[in-house]
Amino acid sequence: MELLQNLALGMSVVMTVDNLMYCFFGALLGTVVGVLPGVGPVVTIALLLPMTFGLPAVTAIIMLAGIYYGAQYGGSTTAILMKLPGEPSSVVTAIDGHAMAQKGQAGVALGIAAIGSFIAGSIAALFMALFSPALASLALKFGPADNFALMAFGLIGAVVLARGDPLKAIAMVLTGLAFGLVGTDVSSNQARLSFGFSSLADGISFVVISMGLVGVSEIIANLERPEGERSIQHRIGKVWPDRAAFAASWRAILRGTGIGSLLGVLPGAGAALAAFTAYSSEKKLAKDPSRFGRGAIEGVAGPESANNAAAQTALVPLLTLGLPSGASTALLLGALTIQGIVPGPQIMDDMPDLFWGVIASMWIGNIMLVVLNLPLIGLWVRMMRIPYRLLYPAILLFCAIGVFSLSSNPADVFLTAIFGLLGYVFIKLDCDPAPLLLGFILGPLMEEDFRRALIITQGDFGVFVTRPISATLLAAALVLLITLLVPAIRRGREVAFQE
Amino acid sequence: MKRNTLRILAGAVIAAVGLNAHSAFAADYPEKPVRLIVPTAAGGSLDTIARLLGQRLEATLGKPFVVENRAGANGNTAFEFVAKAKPDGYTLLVASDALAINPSLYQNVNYDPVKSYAPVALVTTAAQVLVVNPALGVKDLKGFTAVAKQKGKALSIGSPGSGSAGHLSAVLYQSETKTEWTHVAFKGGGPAVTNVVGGHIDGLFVTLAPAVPQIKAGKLVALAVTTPKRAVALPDVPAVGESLPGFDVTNWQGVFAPAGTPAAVVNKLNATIQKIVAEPEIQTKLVDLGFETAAGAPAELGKQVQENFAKWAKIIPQANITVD
Repeated sequence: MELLQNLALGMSVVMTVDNLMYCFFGALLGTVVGVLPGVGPVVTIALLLPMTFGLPAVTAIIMLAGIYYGAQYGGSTTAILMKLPGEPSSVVTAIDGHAMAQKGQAGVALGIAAIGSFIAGSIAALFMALFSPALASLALKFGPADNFALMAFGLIGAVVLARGDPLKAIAMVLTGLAFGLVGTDVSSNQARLSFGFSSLADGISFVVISMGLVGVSEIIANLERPEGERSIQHRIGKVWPDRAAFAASWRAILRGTGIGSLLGVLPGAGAALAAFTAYSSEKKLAKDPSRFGRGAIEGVAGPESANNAAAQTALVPLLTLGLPSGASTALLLGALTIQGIVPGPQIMDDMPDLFWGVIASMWIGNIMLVVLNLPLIGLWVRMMRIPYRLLYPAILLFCAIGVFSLSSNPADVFLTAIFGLLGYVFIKLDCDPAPLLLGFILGPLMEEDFRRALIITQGDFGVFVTRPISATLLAAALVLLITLLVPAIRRGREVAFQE
Repeated sequence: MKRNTLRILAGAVIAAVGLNAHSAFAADYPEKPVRLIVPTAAGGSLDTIARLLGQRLEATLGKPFVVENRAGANGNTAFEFVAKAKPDGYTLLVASDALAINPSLYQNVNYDPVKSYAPVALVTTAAQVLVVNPALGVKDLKGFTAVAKQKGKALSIGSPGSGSAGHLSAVLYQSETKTEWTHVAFKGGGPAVTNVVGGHIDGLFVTLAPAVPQIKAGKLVALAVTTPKRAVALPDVPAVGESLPGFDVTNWQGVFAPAGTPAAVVNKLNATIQKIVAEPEIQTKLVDLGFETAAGAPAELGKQVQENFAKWAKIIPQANITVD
């Protein structure tokens, strides 16, 4: 019954005119900035931060959290319509979501993304109400060795998520790892692979590499094709998800929610891994994995749900341990401290109204997002009617503005262009950029934790197999690798026999 | 004779106009938006100070004070940017002690912490606290040093980053007590504190904000703070200096302008900032962020930079943690 009391307390906090208004304002603003490619929640939250100084703490956090998850939803819209992923989580949404849009099902993809996010948000809120204290201690149990093992597991999953040749996928993961190494090493503070460019000393930004490889390259490839075959087609088709779409995606939504709720709690790689893992598992479980990459609705439903669930459960380590899962939650943390709320183990006991109020607000915010976005779908879909010769310069311009706004560095815009060309080469070679991007995200984190684990044990590799969490995850990674390689080897032989 | 008088009169008029223009400049300042350059990404505590100040400066002086994050190369990108900016008071830097530390840490730094800037105002100071996991069984600094001597490299002490104030505090402590432990660098105070609470490493020198809630919850044992005096937020925790006289690592945060900025502008900003920092509401917020307010005359900040610069230029090469 404590669960119901907590949720009721949360609801009573949110259900004031002011809080509902700020919640709506945050979700709306978040959606709008999320839709603009590259202009992410980080810039928006940073700009609005001073405005919240005068608000009551709960209201301020409700609004900023609204921007955060609103932007994640808005980001999916851009990923689906224009194949421009601005957040790690929308990289996988872009794969099948954009393929659906090309088939004239943009509305279905957007609808399922909104509804999946809402269902995931609702279940994750219940999940947090039930297990928050346990989840907080789960995050504490993950030491450097365990983090490394989790990410190794995730990387092998990245190979699964790629379409086509596993060898190419492995090559892409390794390329991603190499790009991830660029920048200043955490343990020794030495700049690596920066070739003396000060712009590379802090590494390559995710937005730069993902906008370039996935977004800009798509525009180059589109311009090459004759008008009729361009990826953004003027057919609209179904605007609303129908019963068949629900039937095909409800399992994916539930699985995505489960995966996202658990991984979101793990700081660092957790939130980024959620969408990728959900995508890989949908592809593994599908009867016909070849549909993936060509507009499989599960490939949108699963990752979108996982992403939203993770965004929500990531609040547990944020509020109880002060651990942000990314740049936008780091800003939420800043907003909290400025309100005099210091995240810590007692926050659930000392400030139940804040903790449960924020959770309840996320749920209400998700309802608002659905209400807000379902009518907008018609508008978004109509945007695809804009002639491409008018649309693509606008997309490129917004991309450039967004990338520049990251750290006011013109070099980032040039880098995006270079990655755009590289992405075009990858399209020609039929190499999928998604494994590269996951390798890019996980590579540096993995290396840092690998080295931390060895520094702590002074070089004893045994730590990876003697710690139960690490050993289990590495064993699972090994099993996944075997199931991946065995069919490939067998198929290779069959082909050889046929010849 | 007449001609001379004219000349003198003309000179006086020119001088008067010049003077007027000068004081008018300060009176009218700011006439357009002012950029506050922050050397860290949005969301950090220095960024939060800048946004707090920016909002109040805007309210007091009537023109927008826009926070601009130019993170990169541990702050050097922003430091160089402001050092080269036009000294007209419209580009200001909100910096921390990294400004005085980096020249000793990096081989190529294109600014001089003393000569490139006109100090405007010191805003806050902050302590680092040495915390350990309760399982280490250490209750005070004496016990800690004993364990460090006994365990040697088997003792793992984290830091929020290589070359960070937490790392440098540890380096200084090791050289003063002739101990040597294993240094584990993390990315930021939050993850480092979590790893001590989770028992993955033994201890850590870190800023107060991420550590205090865990100390109050009994998940971490606080052994000492690195400032000469005890911290307001942790009155029961002794200063390292109480047992190791002279030990002092004080972080500070302040506002700078490019060298050559008119003194009238600097003084106007200094007076405004001092007033803002004295507001009780701002004081509470800064203390909650783990800082202690310390606004003073421009010269105070200048002195702080000079002393810090000299101190780290001596210690860092000894500890051999120079980077390129």
